[in-house]
Amino acid sequence: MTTEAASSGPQPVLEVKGLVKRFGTVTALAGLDLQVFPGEVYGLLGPNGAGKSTLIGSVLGLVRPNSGSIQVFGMDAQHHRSEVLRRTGAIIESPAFYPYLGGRDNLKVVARTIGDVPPGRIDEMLELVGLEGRGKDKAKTYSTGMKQRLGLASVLLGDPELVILDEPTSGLDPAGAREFRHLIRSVAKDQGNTVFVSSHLLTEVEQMCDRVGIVKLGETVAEGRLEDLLRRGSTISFRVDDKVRALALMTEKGLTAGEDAGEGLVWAEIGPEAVGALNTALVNAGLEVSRIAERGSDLESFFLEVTGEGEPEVSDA
Amino acid sequence: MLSLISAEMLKVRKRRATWIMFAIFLTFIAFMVVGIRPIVLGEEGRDSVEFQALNEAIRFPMGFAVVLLFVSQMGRWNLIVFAALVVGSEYGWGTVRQVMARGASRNRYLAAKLVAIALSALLAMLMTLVIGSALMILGDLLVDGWGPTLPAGFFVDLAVDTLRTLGVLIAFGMVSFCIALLTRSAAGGLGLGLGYLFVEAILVPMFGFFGGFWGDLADFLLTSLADSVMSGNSLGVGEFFTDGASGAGEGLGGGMDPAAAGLYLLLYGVVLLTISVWVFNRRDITGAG
Repeated sequence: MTTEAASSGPQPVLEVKGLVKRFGTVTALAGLDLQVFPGEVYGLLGPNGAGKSTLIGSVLGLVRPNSGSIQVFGMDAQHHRSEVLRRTGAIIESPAFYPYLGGRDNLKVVARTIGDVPPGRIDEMLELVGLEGRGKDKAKTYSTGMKQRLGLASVLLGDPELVILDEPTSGLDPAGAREFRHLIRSVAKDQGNTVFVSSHLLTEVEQMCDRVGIVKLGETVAEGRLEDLLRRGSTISFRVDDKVRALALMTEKGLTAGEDAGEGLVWAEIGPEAVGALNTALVNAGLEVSRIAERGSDLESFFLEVTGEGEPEVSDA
Repeated sequence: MLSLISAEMLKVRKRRATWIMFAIFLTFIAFMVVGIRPIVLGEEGRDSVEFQALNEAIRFPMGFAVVLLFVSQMGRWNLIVFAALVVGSEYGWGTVRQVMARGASRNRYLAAKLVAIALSALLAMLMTLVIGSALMILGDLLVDGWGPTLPAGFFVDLAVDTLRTLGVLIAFGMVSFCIALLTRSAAGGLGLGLGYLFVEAILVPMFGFFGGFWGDLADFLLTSLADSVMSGNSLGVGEFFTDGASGAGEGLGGGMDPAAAGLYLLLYGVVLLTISVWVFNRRDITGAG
């Protein structure tokens, strides 16, 4: 796994270590690790079936892991479930409501389930998510976007310190998704909540999150601050006539390098300032360099690289 | 716990299905205590023995015995449907995950559901008794005037008989409560719960006909036990029932002593509750259902 976790500073709000969950013969989580720190928006990114919802279910005590540990607010999530969940708000997979109840009544049910919700908080939350005029309408008449917003209102009702949202913009149109992302950012920024978002949408995580964890087949394959991951993902590709010799030279120089699919393509993790020197070294070694280009440095490229979902083949030198 | 129960009661109260079931129930009661006298017998039948017997049975206040008997018979079907909806719908809508994710303990959640079902049944019964008494008075006025005399200990008998009837209903509610949890669906609880009751309705007389071991076995089926418990109701005994309000032993089966039958019924409830709690606590709550 590639990790860029904060090594000092505040204690994590959520810390998962070596989490394993099997459903019969299917392994949904295969030793997953991650850390979420106070006040950040953390994005858990992974393709469908990577284990994101199982992880969230485990954190919330809906799914019992086979092994590993989950610490929330420094407490074991399994043994202090009630206390942990009292300080946590979550939507799993999609917000679920009683279709025959109005938005306000749905929030009343949530408030009674949580307990100790101050009077007036329901109106406050309906206003926050822009549903103050639709509180009496039955939930079954709500659009997908309205349901997502009502879901967020229900999550924030108990003023949780940790907000967990599973695929929060799923089913929303682009405008609705953007609006919802702004809402989530403002929840973290204005209300000081820690937000944990799972998504399979790269752009969503890129636009919303401070730190990212990437999961594949139930394992964390990368974790860190977005800019750090992208900086590390910033590589230069060279088209050369002899990939093996080029890679050997790059390794000799202590660089992280690899080969891309495609004829003669190799890459090295170097800053733009070192491109000239490396090119000179390759040429001096008798190699013919026919093309130099910046390799993809966005989250998509990085994601494809670490999950092996795309074309590139990676070999750390 | 109280706030969880109040959340459950809010869901039940605002649900249209609750009121539809209650309305159907009341329609039957109304027909029985008001409509049946003039409609079935007509003016010319007033002097017949059948009319007199029926008239006595559904007059105020002793008509409560018939109302409770009706509640125990039709109410068991109603409660099977009701409990299946209360438990199973949460799986269909995915709301069970949301409730669990908000920190409610699984045992408390089940307890709140069970209390809400029992409380709703009790409230429905009380409303039925109030409306039933109004209808009885109306029926009396329509037929031959109203001049009730309350027998000694009437209210105590009514309270005890009402609670006994409630106990019988809850036992049936537990059947679909448990099945809906096991199948994680309202349709499963409803279909299998009603199916169970239907099969018992066939088995009890059939086993009774075979006699011997089968006859004894029939006494331990839920329907027979319920009827035996209902035979302990004391309202109306000696007036128009000869052997307890349900007329047990006179066609409904259930020849067991009411107290013993009550204990067996309680045992059914405990077993069904234990299975429900055990399964609900052990299982992961995943997916839409």
